[in-house]
Amino acid sequence: MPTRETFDRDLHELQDDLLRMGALVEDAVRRSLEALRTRSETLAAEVIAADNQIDALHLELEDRCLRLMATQQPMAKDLRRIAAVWAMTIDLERMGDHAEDIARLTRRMAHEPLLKPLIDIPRMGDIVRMMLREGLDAFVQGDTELAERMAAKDDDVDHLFSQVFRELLTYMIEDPKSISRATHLLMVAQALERIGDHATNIAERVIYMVTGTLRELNV
Amino acid sequence: MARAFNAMIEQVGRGLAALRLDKSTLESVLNHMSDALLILDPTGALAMINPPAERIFGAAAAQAIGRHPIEVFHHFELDELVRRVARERTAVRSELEVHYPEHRVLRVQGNPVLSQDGAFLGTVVVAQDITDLRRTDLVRQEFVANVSHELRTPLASLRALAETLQGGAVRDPEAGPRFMAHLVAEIDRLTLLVSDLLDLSAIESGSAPLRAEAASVEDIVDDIVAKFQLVADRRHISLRVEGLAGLPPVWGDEARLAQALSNLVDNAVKYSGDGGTVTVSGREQGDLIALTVADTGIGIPAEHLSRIFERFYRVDRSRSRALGGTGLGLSIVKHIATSLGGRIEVQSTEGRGSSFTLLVPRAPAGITARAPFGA
Repeated sequence: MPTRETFDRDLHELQDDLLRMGALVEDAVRRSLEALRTRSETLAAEVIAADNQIDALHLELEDRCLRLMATQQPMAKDLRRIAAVWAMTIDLERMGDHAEDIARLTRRMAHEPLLKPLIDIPRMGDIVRMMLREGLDAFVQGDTELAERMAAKDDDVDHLFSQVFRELLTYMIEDPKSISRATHLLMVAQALERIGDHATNIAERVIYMVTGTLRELNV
Repeated sequence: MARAFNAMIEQVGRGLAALRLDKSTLESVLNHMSDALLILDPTGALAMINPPAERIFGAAAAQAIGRHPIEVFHHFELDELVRRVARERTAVRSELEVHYPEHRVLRVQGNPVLSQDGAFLGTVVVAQDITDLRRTDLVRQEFVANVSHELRTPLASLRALAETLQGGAVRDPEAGPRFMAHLVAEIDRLTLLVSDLLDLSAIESGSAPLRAEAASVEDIVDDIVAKFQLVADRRHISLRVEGLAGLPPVWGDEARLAQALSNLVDNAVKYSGDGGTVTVSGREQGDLIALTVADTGIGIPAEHLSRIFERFYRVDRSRSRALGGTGLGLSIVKHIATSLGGRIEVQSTEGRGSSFTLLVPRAPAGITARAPFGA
């Protein structure tokens, strides 16, 4: 029968590996936006390739969560913790996919000049990256207040998205030739908005892990 | 017996004092070294992080101690490095980028700490901030790329002209001399570009030492106005000088100052419409002398103002080329201003004109300007 000590060690390793996955996702979001900013097909290709590592980590972590539950039959707080980690790997994997989407869109846009200087989109990127970081910190420290503060930032992301949408709409109406580029940029903004939503999910899971209550933030 | 005991106590006392000194010396070294230092215990938890590490990684030592690096720094490559050191019990070197709280490039080395019998006692990680070094490399690469690009255009023109002449135009009594004239003009343009580049390079690298001397602005400007008078007259541009009489001398290399002012007046004349006015004026501004070259020309659009001092930056490339610009004039002015201990400022209204102000330190009291070159 595995000891409490072994279980603690396994749980700690599981959490550290979740954090490693989180760091890779943060890198992916940052690099995908850097590729967009510099219109670098090379960097975009790297982000796309690197998503395989994120996907692999997701599967591995899910598997380990399942094993821990099966072999250790944890109770209460420990069970919540493992369940939280499981849910968070799914959100992280989705965030990684959205970063990959941004990279793919960048590749499609690389050969044309930018429709307009990027201002709101990088701002959205900064906010969601900060949200992810704070989510991971909140998880490490079991800090529910940090989690709630982080989730509140999603309002800013949504607000910026509406702004981007309206602005790109004007471009499209004024000049139908710009529709292709405007649509691509809109999809980038949408990907960032979804990343913000997934970060909010992470905040919800941290609160669940600590308090035992799962509630929707930002309804 | 008592004597031996006392001697022993004395020795222990000295030993303890030495240890305390060593501990505070160690603390002092760790706190004041400029490199970031992390010490991890054999389980991989942080035992110590020094102030530079706190700054570079945006972490507080109090929250970091006892946690694993990934929990504190959220840095995948750093985590990989410390894991490899612990796993392979060998030194690992790498170059890492940190993006939070600020972008930095670090040269990192992790070393395993082993006891005499080979037991793993922990890991020491030292990180050197080489951000500035890398930035300089990038600037240099960019410069080389810029220069190659700029040289390509005149060289292409030269080739086209030469080929045309080769193709038979040389024998054409009308076209032949015309193409030859173009050829010579392109060569002159290229020569000017290379000359500006060498100048800029010398100023930037500090290989052309600056003289510390008191320079009379009035004399320098008089020479410059004389140089541009012919061109200005031909286009009915009026060259005016105001407020220079009685200005205290400027402290700095006179030739460089002249070069900077000359570049500013050159631009002012170039970008002024026919019949416009170029004014060179000066006034005291505290410890500095403000020298302004103002024109009534085409002006600079607001969105370009922050970039015009960059090497090869042009607001309108084709116009600049037509006027014979190398794209380096303002960059040279900026570097001269900085090397003289001053700065350059610009104000402009599109369609109305621009005014460039060179601020340079005044000469210390009691030092008078000597006569300028050739006087």
